[in-house]
Amino acid sequence: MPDHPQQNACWSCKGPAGEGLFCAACQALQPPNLQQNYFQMLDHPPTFKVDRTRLETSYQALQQQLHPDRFATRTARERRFSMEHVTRLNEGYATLREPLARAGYLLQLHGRASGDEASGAAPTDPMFLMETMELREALEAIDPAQPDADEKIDAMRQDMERRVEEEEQGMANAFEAHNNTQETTHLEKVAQHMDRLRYHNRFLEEVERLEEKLFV
Amino acid sequence: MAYNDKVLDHYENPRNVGSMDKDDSDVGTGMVGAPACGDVMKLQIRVNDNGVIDDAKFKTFGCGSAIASSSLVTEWIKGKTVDEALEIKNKEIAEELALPPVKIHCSVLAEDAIKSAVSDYRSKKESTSS
Repeated sequence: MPDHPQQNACWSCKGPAGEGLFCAACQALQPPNLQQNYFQMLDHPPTFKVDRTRLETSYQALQQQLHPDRFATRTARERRFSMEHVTRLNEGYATLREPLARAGYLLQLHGRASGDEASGAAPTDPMFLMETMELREALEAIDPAQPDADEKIDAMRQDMERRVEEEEQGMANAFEAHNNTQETTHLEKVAQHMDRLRYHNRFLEEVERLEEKLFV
Repeated sequence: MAYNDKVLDHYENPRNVGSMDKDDSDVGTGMVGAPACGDVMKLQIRVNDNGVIDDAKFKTFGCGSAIASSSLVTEWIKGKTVDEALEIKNKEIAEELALPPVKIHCSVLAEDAIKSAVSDYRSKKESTSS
């Protein structure tokens, strides 16, 4: 058919399977389409700012269609495809839901390292490191035995959550600037914000650890 | 992960933990971080008139290997000249502590901390002598 020159053949009935999860002709479950990125898979535009409800709705709908329980009595091949689909779906959803992972994934889609170890971002500003160190020291200095320890910890958490929001806003702005100009310097900025966000996340993990100790 | 004995020893009994006055002109402060994991390390050296490091302190928020690497480095650089301290390579730190490959970056961090502390010290000396 000239309209669909690249139509995939169904593994089961060998007919044209169509674009869907299931063969248009025989309804057999098709393997995951690895050409699709996570945004396409979850039917969301590839942007840093995401509509969480939309992501969740897509995720739930796909999860329902693809869950291995539904394929318990089907062919071994379909059972395996179902597992593969659900694994990829969970990975994709986890990636897009979390700002740091989402930013890294978007960098990858833009052909840049994901912002992990080999981010290539400029070394973190020493003033920022100094501040991070001071915040960690201040947190450490809180004596859990004092009656106001939980208030102090809570205040530090709120302060850090504001910093996290700033970094996320910074990433959103940098991605938007990149979309408008296509200049890669904006992606550099994203990687720098990601670096800073990781330090902040570590701080929040430490807060959580302290709070657990305090409330047991 | 099982830590090697030397790492454990430095982790449980870290040497030279603490801070010095970072505004003191004889003190160099090195501040480094590992953005991939969010570890931060501060290494401070005090240099006497003969250019010898007579005291070193560190403060590290990070994993056991990062703490051990910085603790070890403070022991090694005490009594060394600034130039000798700069010769310490991450490979020696990693070998001494038998760090596994995934923890090599901790020793890199410690080496970078020495460089950063020395460069802070030197830039202070330059600005006071000029």
